[in-house]
Amino acid sequence: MADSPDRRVAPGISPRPRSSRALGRGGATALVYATLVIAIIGFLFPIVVMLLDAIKPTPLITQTPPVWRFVPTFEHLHNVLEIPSYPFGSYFRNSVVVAAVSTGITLVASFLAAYSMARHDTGGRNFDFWILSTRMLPPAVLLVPMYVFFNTFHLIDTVWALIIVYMTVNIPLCTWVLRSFIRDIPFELEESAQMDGAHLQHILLRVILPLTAPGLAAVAVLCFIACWNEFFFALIFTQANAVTLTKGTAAFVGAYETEWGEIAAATGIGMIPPLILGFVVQRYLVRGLSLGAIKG
Amino acid sequence: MGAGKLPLAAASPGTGLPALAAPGRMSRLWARFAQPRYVLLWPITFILLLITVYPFLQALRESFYGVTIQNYFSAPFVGLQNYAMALQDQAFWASLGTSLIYVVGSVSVEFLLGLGLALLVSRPLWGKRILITLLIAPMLVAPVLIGYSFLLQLDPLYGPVPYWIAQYLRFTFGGQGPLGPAYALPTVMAVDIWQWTPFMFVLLYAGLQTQPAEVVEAAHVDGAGFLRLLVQITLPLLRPVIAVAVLFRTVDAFRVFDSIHVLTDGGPETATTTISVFIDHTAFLAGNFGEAAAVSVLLIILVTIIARVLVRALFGQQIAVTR
Repeated sequence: MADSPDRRVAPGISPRPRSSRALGRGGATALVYATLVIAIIGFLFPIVVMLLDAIKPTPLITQTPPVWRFVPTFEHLHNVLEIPSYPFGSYFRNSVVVAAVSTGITLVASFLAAYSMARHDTGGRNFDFWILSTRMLPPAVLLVPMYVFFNTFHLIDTVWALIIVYMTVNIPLCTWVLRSFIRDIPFELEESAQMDGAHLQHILLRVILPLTAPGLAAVAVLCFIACWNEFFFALIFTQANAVTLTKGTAAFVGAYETEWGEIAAATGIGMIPPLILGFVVQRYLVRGLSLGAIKG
Repeated sequence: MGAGKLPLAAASPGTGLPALAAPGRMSRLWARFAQPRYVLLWPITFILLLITVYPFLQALRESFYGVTIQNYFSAPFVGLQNYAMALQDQAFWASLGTSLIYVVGSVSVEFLLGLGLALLVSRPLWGKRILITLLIAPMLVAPVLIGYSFLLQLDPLYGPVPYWIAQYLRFTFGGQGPLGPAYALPTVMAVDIWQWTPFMFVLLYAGLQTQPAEVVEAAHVDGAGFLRLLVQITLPLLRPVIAVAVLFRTVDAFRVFDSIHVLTDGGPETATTTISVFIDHTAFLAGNFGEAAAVSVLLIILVTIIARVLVRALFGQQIAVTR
């Protein structure tokens, strides 16, 4: 990396020869932080405004200008978590099962296919667009035929209907993204593994998988979130047993009156699992096993 | 489309094909698709065929039948009438125009913002994991739920957002509020940008992480300035990931439904009726499933064309050079 041969820089010179720019390194970094902080405030503001309702006394929620100073109440959280007629735990569990299983199967299946497509051009130019096209149908058209389909197999109101539907939405994304990442891996790495007598499964697990880690981490988060947040299929395909958190939370929206506090409380708790996943998966998002590190 | 290959590749795992190893063509095909590199494609092919073929064929079939709510299972064949109806429908063309504005506007802004953020965060920074987690926060709230919250926050009478904008920026949205006729589309697009910029960010950031560090470093040492580095090294290396990120945002923006449905349901009048909302209204409000299916088929054709153009433009020679 830093020791790459460069004839114009004498050896011994610091590997950061550009530190004496007009805006010193400290100034530039400060600018970067300032920009990021502004972006994060923009991103978080609507969420914070929403989540504050979770601990706001009901009469204050719809006041303008918004009230920032109030005595927090746990009434909404209590209504969400501790009322027997509102099975929050079951909604939460369903969401976790659906999102985890669906994402897991999607990742494995897509990883295998992406490798095959990237390295062997299997399927040619049309297979990938066929995969992509399964994501193009608007939900309104899919609803009725899919309902009929799942009904035939008695899968309505089970987690399996949702697990399967979400796979069709996520497989195209995963396959395309992972194929891009695998294409970027130099073929020589694989070749030398092959020479050493490695089998396909070893190459996949020991060479390709670690090098695709950032891509896998990214799509894992995106898929999980997509499953976690999906609403319309969950609304139609579940009735009692398999209701997910998003549908359960939206139940607080009424035709005449909406329980904003309860929505905010349930949403806030619902953000935690994807947040944890995002945080955990990030160590793979950060350049750890980059190509440079391996090729050395 | 690899029509000859797909069905076999998909059917094989289920049917335990050795029984089918009849002499001749079938067995040769079988031998081909039993190769490890094709076996790797079986799972996704099986899953996608299993679930999408029926709805696809059903939509295609419905588009040639006069399907309504009343006669869903006994609709008469009407040939191309649904397509003719759609193509003559002013509302169809209007919704297509709205969708194009929506897609081009949101996706391009999302790309620029996402790329900018990805480049910033790839610098050596302290607290990177927390920064990334905060940057993807908008995706963590279900579009439907944050949509309801936005409805409250944007309300022209009670919402804090119009109040603050009027207070500090002296802008009153012409008295209509941000979801009034003139501002609804930009507002809905702004919500899309707010929610999906992180999607671009995550993919582009992951892409930047796999760039060979020594190439970038070498150019840096050679004295390439930030802009030259970006245009001549970083972006070309990132092109495959950019292509995929832009492609999927484009496809998704064409079928976006959740957030618009909650925020405006296509209104006021038809200001935010994108093609996906139009299809929903045609099917479930007007009860005309046949025309909705015809419009969907047209939409798939259109989006496929756009996707192919995008891929060709963005991947460039990449595909040809694969092997």
